[in-house]
Amino acid sequence: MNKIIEFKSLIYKPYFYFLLFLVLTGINPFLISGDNPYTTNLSRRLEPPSAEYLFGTDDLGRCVFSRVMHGARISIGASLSILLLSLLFGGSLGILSGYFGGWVDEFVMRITDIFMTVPTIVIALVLARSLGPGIKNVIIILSITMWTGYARMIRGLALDIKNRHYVETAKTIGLKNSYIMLRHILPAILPPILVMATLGMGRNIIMISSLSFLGLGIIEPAPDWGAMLNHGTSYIRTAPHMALFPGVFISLTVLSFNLLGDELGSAGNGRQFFMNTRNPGNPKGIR
Amino acid sequence: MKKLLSVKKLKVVYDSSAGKVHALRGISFNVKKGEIFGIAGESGAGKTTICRLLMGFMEKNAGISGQVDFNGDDLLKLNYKDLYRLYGRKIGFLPQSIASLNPLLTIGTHITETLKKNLKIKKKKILKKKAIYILDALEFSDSRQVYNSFPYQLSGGMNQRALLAIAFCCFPDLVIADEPFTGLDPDVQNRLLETVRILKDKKNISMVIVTHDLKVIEKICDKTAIIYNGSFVETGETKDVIKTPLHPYTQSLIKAMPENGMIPTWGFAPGALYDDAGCSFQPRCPTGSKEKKKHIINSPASVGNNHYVWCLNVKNQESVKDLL
Repeated sequence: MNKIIEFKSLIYKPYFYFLLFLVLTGINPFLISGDNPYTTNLSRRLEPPSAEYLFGTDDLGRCVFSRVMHGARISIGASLSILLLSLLFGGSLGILSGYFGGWVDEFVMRITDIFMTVPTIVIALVLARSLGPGIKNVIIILSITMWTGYARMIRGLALDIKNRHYVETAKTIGLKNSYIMLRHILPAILPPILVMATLGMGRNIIMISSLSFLGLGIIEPAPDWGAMLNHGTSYIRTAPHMALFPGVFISLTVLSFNLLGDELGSAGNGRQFFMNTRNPGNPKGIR
Repeated sequence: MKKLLSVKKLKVVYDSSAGKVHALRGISFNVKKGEIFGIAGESGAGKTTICRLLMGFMEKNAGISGQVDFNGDDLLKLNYKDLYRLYGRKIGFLPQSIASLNPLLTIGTHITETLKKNLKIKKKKILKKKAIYILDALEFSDSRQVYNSFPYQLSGGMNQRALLAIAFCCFPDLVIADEPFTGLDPDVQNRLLETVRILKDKKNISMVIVTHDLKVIEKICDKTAIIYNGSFVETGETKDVIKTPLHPYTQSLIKAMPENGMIPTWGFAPGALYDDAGCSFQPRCPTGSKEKKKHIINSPASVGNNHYVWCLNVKNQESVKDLL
């Protein structure tokens, strides 16, 4: 296959291993932490980190380490779902409006403008108040607010590609518009979308945590990092580890996703990820 | 022979801030089945406009009048859907450069998607077999390798041949070529032209070739039209137009060919904004008068054997019957 995805440079990046670790724990948190994140033990409340409890225990005697590990599943899972939903919705609207132009473009972009005039967090707060907390609602709320950026950006990318000669040639072959969009435009704009999505993952984690911190997102006893941070602030003087570890994990995860996005973006706009970078230059001397 | 494409009094006018832009000022020509019609002229003469018009790619602000009859359909009046039905199957397009190949798709994918859409073949094995057969016919030494190659892995000549494969793979009735084979070395160009000749003879395909290269015209076109500033100045059989050019512009084009010493013509074309009635070549004409009065040419002079010249200095040798 010529389509070699060159991830070689990532082997030397520590954040790549951190993300890999989070994804694996997200898939099965019990691999790493043996303790049940919901089991309370009131006799061992607010214990500092020790060999038994790596990250200490919280006010109900629950293992903070296992709660943080289980939180990876919620944070990464929820932000991935938000990403996919908003990318699917915003992306398809963006590609349609970029490709067809005219009134379709006007219509979609004006709706996007309306959404963009109100700050994301305000819409999210209002919706969260009316829908109530819970992981499903968080995903719905943030998907509704996050799609506009993707729609804008993908429209711009599609506008660029649709005027390329090869798209015109595809039309002269008699290919359908839907086929041209999927087969000729989408692969060409996929690398920047990939970068955008990686950066979006970090943003989504922060948004989920912010909502949880405000008590409108994922609530106790579910082990979400934002909710744990919120809960830990009450004990910040007696047991700082309760807020510290979820906070560190939020920061590290967001940082890792941003670094990954930068790495993908700096690699020649990501085009190499879909093509063999080295030009073999007619190896067999065919004419 | 039956007429396949007939263009009548085609005019294209754009509105721009500088005034009316006359891209085409009323051109007419016919293409018969199995015939190659060449249109030559300098940059800005309206060559690409003809191509884009025939492919239905005109901008919305263009004022188009005239008639383009293809096999009984008026291409200018067809709606989007019907036009797209003609593409690929009935009308093929041979683009100018390798920018017309998607850099993310292999040559094989380009050919198979064309075959799949136009011949309604579903099975992948048959598609691949057919595509490789077509590549073999275009004299690639290793068709399988080319089938799996991306455009950037092939040389310019090979990419041009791949474009030929895409344009001809469904054997359309008419192929429109916009400056094909430019920027290639003469050896590769000759070979490609020969391939086109063979393909055309085998399948009785008509072609409209738009180019600035008189060598291409000389080698494969049956009929030729010389276009200047949006209107034809001379049309006829290629050998008549190239060997015995009568219009001073055609003569100057032939003088400007490399083997004839590359003698440039004095002055510049007046451009598409020029909108006086009359001969637009008059200011540059070596034999024409320099007076301010414009020479209005109502009808071309016919010099026999379907050879027409839009010049007042050429004596009409037979009465102009039906144009072309």
